[in-house]
Amino acid sequence: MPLPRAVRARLVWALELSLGLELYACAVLALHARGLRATPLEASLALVLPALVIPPVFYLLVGLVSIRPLALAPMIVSVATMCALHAMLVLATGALFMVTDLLGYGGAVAFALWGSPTVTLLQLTAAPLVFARLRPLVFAWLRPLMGASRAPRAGARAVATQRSVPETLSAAPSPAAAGAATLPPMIRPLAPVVNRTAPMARPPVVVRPAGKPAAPAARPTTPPPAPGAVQSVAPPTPVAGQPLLKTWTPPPAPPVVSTAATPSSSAAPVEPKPSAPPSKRAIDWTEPMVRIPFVRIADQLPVEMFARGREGLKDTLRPGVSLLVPRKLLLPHLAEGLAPVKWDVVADQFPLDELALSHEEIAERLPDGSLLLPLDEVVPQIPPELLALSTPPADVRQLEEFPAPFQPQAATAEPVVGPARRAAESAPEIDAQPEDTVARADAADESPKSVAAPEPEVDEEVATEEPDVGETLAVDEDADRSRATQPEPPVLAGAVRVTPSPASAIERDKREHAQRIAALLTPLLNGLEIGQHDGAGTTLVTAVAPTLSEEAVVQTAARIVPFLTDARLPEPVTQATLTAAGATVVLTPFGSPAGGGALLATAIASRASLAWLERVSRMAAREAQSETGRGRRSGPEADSNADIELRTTAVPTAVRELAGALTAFGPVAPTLLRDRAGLLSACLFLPSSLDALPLAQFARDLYGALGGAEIGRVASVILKLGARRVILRSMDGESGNVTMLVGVGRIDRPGLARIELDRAATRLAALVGS
Amino acid sequence: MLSDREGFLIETAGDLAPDADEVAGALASCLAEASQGIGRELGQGQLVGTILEYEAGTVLLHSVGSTALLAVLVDDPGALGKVRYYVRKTVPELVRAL
Repeated sequence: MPLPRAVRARLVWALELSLGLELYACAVLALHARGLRATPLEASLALVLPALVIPPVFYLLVGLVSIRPLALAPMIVSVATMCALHAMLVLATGALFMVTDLLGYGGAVAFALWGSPTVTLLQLTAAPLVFARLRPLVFAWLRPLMGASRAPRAGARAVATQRSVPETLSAAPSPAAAGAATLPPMIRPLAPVVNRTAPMARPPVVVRPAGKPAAPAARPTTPPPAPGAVQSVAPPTPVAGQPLLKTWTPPPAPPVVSTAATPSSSAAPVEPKPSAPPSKRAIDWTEPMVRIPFVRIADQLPVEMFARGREGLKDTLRPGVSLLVPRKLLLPHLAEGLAPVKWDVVADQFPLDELALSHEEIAERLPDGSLLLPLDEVVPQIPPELLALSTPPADVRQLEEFPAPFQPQAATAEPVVGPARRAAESAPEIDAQPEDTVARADAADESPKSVAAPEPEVDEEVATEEPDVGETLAVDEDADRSRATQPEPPVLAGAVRVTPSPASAIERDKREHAQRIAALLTPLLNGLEIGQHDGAGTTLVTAVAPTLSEEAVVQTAARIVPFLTDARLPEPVTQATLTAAGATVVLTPFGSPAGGGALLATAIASRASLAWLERVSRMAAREAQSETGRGRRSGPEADSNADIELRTTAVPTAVRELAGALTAFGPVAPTLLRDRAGLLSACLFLPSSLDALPLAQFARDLYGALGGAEIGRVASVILKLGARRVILRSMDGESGNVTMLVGVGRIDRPGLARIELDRAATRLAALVGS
Repeated sequence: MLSDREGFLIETAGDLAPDADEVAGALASCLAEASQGIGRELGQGQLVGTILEYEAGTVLLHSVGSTALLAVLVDDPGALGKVRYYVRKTVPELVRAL
């Protein structure tokens, strides 16, 4: 079983002290072995005077060199101590010579003192070495003599070679040898001992000069010592989360000066004496610590606290220098986002001989007497289990509803369609709607756009509830079946901006569709702004990228709405994609015929996700799409371009060759139509089953409708008609004529179809130009 | 699976579930766009390719010029090196073809 570090350190300390003395003894014996014999000497002034003067002068020089910071009292103490050690060495050497040389003790001491320069030199060397090891003890004992204000600096010399409390503790002598009660606080093991007697005798009277600030009051968790106690340690009254506190007080009454003063166990509060040093926490170094690099808190320390100013501060900034703070002191503060630690807790970890200020003065210079530790250093050192929220879950059993935004987490995790299903089960009648639904719908009618709830809320909740498309659609089917009785999903009600419209059942049905579609799209197309508009005989649900103008998208969509159900097309349009320079709009019809149908318009600026956008939009509207518009095909709009009559013309050979290159469309045949003026041409690549003229007229009308579109010039329109696709492109000729390129086919490689049509357009443009 | 930068399918080969190629192409373009943004923000230039590792296979996504993306689904991880070699060898030809 390994020895504790403090015990090992004390052992080393004692061995070093013994080794110094033994080396001296061995050196004297070696001199004796080499022929040095003690002989009786005459006590002449010429011999005695140097022997008495040289050692003090030498020790004074040693003190001047070694004592930092330089002060008179420590200097005197050091010189006196070394002189005393020198005298002890002389006496011990005399005893040695008395034994070996059969000399009287007086004569032997005289010989040891001035009989041999070599012996004197050994003594001058040994005394400072021994003193170096004894210095912590000496200064700790004599600290009270040096005055309270200088106590830290005097004490600093006692631990001049120590850098931190653990090391300081390790330097303490064995309590058994030196007496634990007599050890100075800086070198006494703190943690294991709770009730301790005074470590040393105090001077009879220690008075702080008037005008000096009083010492800070003792901490409330630690009762101050009772009157009469020389030094007392706070009784072991552990407070949860607080370490034991050791309070130092000077002897209140002059007569009581004892190293074995009875520790007070009284809890009677006593005002701390003005000269009392600041209280220090008794840190248990075996408890878990948090290590903070000193460089992280150095900027909080006043530079003047260092004896060597900035130089001293700089020396402490070396890599690896850290402060150790008991973890349990920080835990209560972490919930506040702070990690403060009182200066008293960490004061002992600063080498006192480097400090120019007392701990009390340093604490006064710190905000609230504390250092604020960096949380990024503290938190990673706290075990996760200690950071876990220990708050018990709230009891919400008696609460029936939660007004926004106070919904508990469990409530928001419910699927969106949950209420719909519950409503369907509990209210089988179609027209029966909960009161709150109607109220919410009315409120939605009256609410302007500005009342839209923040979109991220929708994103978060819907994303949580709708993990993927497949699940979304499955849920959607169930929800749609019960939509007649479905209350509005509360999550979505605030997300969709609604323009004022009559609160009729049809409108509500439209709105429900719109909201459902918006809810389905939101998690899939994150970042789009969801809105709802009425116009062009349909309800338009918009999902528009923030960088685009929603109004422009709506107006452009309104232009194309009549063409989606145009009877000239072989099938109704299931999706239309309009591509302009800065925007791409995808229009997807959805909704039931009873509801009047609706149109989902999504608009994005970047086309990288266009395929995904089309697919998601189709999936979201798939069920409704199957019903929309079937049997409701509309005739052509009032033909404003009727005067532009298109007539079939002969197809050049080069154009026929283009048809062979359009492999993605399947087998197609070219058809060329022109108006009389030759300003408008239409080049169609169609399967043989389709009539070219209606499609050409459709393309002409669509082209005319999109002229001057709000989103910019529309370069291409792609209409998805079930399995077929119609791709319409327009090419402006140099002379002002326009050529429309229309490709129709069953396309399962839309990317390839577009590439081929682009190539065809390029070649056609070259042909037209030529 | 070869798709354009908008995610529309250009050509596909192999045994994939119905519509899987369409979905893969559409999402690959989204991924490529996002990855391109990362490289742009970090100053790393154009996206050359990415490797996506899944439990049941690996997907190689490679740019084909500035207009298309090539996605290769590899079931056998041991063939990854060979597939990458052929992809790099084939991409210039695809660029010329497109």
